[in-house]
Amino acid sequence: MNPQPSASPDGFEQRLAGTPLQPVPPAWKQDILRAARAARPVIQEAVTTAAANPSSPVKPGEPDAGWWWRGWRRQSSAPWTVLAAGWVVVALVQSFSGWLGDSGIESRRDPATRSSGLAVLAAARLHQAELLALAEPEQSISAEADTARPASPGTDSRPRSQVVPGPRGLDPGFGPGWV
Amino acid sequence: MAPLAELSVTAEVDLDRLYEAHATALRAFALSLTRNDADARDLLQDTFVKLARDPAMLREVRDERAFLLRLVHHAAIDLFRRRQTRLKYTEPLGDEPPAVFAPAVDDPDEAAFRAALTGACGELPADQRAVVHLKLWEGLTFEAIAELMDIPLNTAASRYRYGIDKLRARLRPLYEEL
Repeated sequence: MNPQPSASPDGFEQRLAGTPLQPVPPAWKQDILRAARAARPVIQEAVTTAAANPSSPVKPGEPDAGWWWRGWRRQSSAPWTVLAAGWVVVALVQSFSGWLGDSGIESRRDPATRSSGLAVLAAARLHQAELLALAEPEQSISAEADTARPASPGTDSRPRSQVVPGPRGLDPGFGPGWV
Repeated sequence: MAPLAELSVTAEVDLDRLYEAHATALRAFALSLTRNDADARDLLQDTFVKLARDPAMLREVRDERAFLLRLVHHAAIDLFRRRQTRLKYTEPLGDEPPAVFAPAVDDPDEAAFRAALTGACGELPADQRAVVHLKLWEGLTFEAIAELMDIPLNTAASRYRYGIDKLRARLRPLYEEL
């Protein structure tokens, strides 16, 4: 079936199309237009302000390029306040994190700080190795990292709470070059 | 840029002119969509409020009537979404048929035909009713209807055909008698 109707309407369609529509009740006009005009507070307010304040830079009958901006700003004061506060917070966080980041970079660039950090790390590794040797005397602590490394999770049947962690310094992931 | 006072007056004049030129058609289309006089009034008011808030929306418009009908259609969709009564949109409403057509006070036959036409339109599905209304009483092309209702061209044409066939079946005896 071809639903495309013919271009020219037949008599029935012309008869229907000739049926006049009911006009709008006259009482509607005033209410509808009043509601519509009330929806334009910006223009009305700008005109009223310009007319009531002759010293205003906006003279009646003269164009004012910023009226819409002032009206919008006045209408949306709460969102503007929230937006401004948000930007202040963002700026503060940004400057604070930037300050921390700069000091961190400086400390990493400082050779003295870096060497002292490595010394502390080496002492911590030694301490951990001694603790491991005390906890498991049967194991040799003089061995290299492979013997002290904990078994992989798939092969160790003990609960994780009973597994003594190996020294982190021996973990390849935390080698001397990690800093 | 137009002076402020002039701009304001122009906008007021435009609203008046727009109302005088299009309110009857917009109200009839709104009534055809909603089948409810109060809803039709709300849609008409929503449309003019939108125009008042943004008069520039008409600046680039070629067919003012079609654009305003589109606004009414969108407002109707918004209304039904707000109320979450999809059935209200898809099913004819109303205990009392809305007065879409002007009364024929001096001609009882014509009055009977218009009453039958109102009833027959109310029995159409809303999508067919909208297309039939736009085609018959607004004289829009199928292209314009398709654009207005955001539907494909063939859909607009088929909805019209199905709708007009139903009206014909329903009104033919009375039409031929008249």
